[in-house]
Amino acid sequence: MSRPDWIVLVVTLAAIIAYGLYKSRTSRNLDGYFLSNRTMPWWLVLLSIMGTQASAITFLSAPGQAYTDGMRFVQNYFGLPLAMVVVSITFVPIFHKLKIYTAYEYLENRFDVKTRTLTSFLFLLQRGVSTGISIYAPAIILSSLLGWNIYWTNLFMGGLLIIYTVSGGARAVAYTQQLQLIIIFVGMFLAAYMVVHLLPAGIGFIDALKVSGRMSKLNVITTGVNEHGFNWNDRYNIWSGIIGGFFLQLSYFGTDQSQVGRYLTAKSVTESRIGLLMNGVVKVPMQFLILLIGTLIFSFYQFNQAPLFFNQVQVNKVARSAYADSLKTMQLHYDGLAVQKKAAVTRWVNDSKKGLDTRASEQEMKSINGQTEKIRTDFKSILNKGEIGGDTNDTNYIFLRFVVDFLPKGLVGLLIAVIFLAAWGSIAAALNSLASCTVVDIHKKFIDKNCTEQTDYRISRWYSFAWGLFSIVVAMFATNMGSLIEAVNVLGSLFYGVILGVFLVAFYVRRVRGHAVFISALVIELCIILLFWKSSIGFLWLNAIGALGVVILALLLQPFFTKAASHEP
Amino acid sequence: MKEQQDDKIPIFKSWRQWYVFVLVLHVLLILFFKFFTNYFA
Repeated sequence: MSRPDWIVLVVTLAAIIAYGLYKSRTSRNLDGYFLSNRTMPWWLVLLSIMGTQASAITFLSAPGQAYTDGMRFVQNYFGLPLAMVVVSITFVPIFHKLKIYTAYEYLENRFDVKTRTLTSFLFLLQRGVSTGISIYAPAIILSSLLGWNIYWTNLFMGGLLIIYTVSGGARAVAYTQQLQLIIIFVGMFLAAYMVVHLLPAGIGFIDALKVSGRMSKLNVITTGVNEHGFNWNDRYNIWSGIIGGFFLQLSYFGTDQSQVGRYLTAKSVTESRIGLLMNGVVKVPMQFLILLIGTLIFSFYQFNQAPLFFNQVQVNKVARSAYADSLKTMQLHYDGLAVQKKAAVTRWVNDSKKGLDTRASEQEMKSINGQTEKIRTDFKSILNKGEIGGDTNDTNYIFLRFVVDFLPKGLVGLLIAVIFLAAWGSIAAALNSLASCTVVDIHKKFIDKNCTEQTDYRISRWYSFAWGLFSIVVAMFATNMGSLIEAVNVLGSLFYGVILGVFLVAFYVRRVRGHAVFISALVIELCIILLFWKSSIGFLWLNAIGALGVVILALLLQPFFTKAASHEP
Repeated sequence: MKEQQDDKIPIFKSWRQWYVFVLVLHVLLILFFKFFTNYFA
C-alpha cells in the first residue's frame, strides 16, 4: 500500500474510534449501556440493523461469490422481507411491552428458567464463534496484503474494536454504525464505478453485464430443478431462499440478541417497526448491487488477465515447493489462454453490437473459460496435497485483489477502511449483545442476583471486553473455512432453527409448557447437527427443519407431561 | 398497547397497509430479477 492509502486508512479508522468514544456518554446502568435508554429514531435503528447484518464478510465474500458462482446467492435473502413483517407483527410488540433486555427473558415468563438458559446458551455459542469469524475476515486482508502474521493481525483488529465498544455500549455502537455505513456505501459505489471505468475503450456497463450474463454469472433466479427433479442439495435457489431463508431471517431478527438488541433501542414500537420494514425494502437490492460488483469484476477479467489463484500467499508457497515446475507450466498455459480469451470476448462484444451471428465467438469464449477453470482446479488440487496446506478457496480474495492491483492510490486505502468498518459495525453489535445475554441471562440470574446499577454497568463492560478476547481467540482458529460468508450462514443455520422453534411455540402454541419445549429443543438440536454432519442437504433447509421439528415434537410430547402433572399428588 | 396508541403510523393508514406495501415491493423486485436473469442469459 502506498503512503496516501495508509493515510486514508489510518485517518478513517481513527475518526471512527474517536467518534465512538465521543458518543460513549450514556447512563451508567443496564438501560443506558445495552439499550441506549430506548431513545433511538427509526432511521438510526435501520442503519444499526443493516450495519449489524452487513459484516466485512458481506463486502469481502459476496463479490467473490458472484465471481465464482454467479448472483444466485442473493436468493438467500428472499425470505427477509416476509420475516420483517412477521417480526413486526409478533416479536416487536411483545418485547417492547415486557421491557426486556434480551429476547430470552421472555422465554422465562412463558416457559421456565431452563428453557431461557438453553436458548441463551445456544445464542452465546453460535454468536461467539461467528463473531470470531467476523474478526478473521478482515484480518486475512491485512495478512495477505502486508505479509503480517495472521494471529497478530487478528489481535490488532479485535483490540481496536474493543476500545469503543466497551466504553460506549449500544449508543456508541449505533452512532458509529451510522457513520460507517455512509463511508461503506461511498467506497463501494466508487469501486463499482472504477470497475466499469477500467474496462477497455468501447466496452460499457451494459456490455460488461452481457458478457457476464453469457457466462452464467447473472443467474439471479434459479429454481433448483434439474433433470432428476428438485435438488435438495442445491444451496441457493428461489425456494430454499424464500422458505429456508424466511426461517433463517426470522430466527436472526426475532431471536438473535445482536439484532433484537438493536431494535429494542428504538423509542417506541412504531420506530422499531419502521426500521425493520425499511430493512425489508432495502436489504435485497443492496445485496444485489454488492453481488453485481462481483460480476462486473468477472467481466473486467475477461479483458484483463486474472491471477491464476487470487491468494498470492498460496501461489508463492507452491512456487517454493516440489510443484514449482507444474506451476510454471500451468501459468504459461494460463497466460496464453488469457490472450485468446480477451480476443474472443472482444470479438463477441463487437459481433453482438453489429447484430452478427455470435454463436461461434460465444462457443469459443465459453470453451476458453472452461479451460482456465480447469487449470484453476488443477492448481487447487496441488494445494489440497498435504505438504502445501492453507486455504484452497480464493473466493474471499477476489475483490480485495482487484482493489489492490487496479484501483488508484487513496481509493485502495478507503476500500480497505470499508472492510474494517463493515467488520467493526457487526462485531461491535455482537459483543454488545453477547455481553447483555451474559449479564442478564447468566450473571444476574445465577451468579449475583442483587447487583447495584453501578455493579451492573461495571460487569457489563468487563463482559464486553471478555467476549472481545474470546472472539479474537476463535479468529485464531478460523482458517480453512472456505467462503466465509457461507461459513457464518452455515453456523447460524445449525442453531437458529431450534431457537426459532422455541419462540414459535411460545407465541403460537399456548398449550405447550416448559418441559416439552425444552426436551424438544435438545432432541432437535442433536438431529440438526447429525443431519448436517451425515448428509449433504442444503444448509438453509436446516432452519426450517429445526423450527418445525421443535414445534411438532413439543406438540407430541406435551400430552405426556400433562398426564404426568395430573397424576402428581 | 400504549406505544401503539400514542404513535401515529407514518405514511399509511394502518400497519396492514405497510406490510402489504413491503411484500408487493418484494414481489416486484423478484419479477425484475427474473426478467434480469432471462434478459442477460
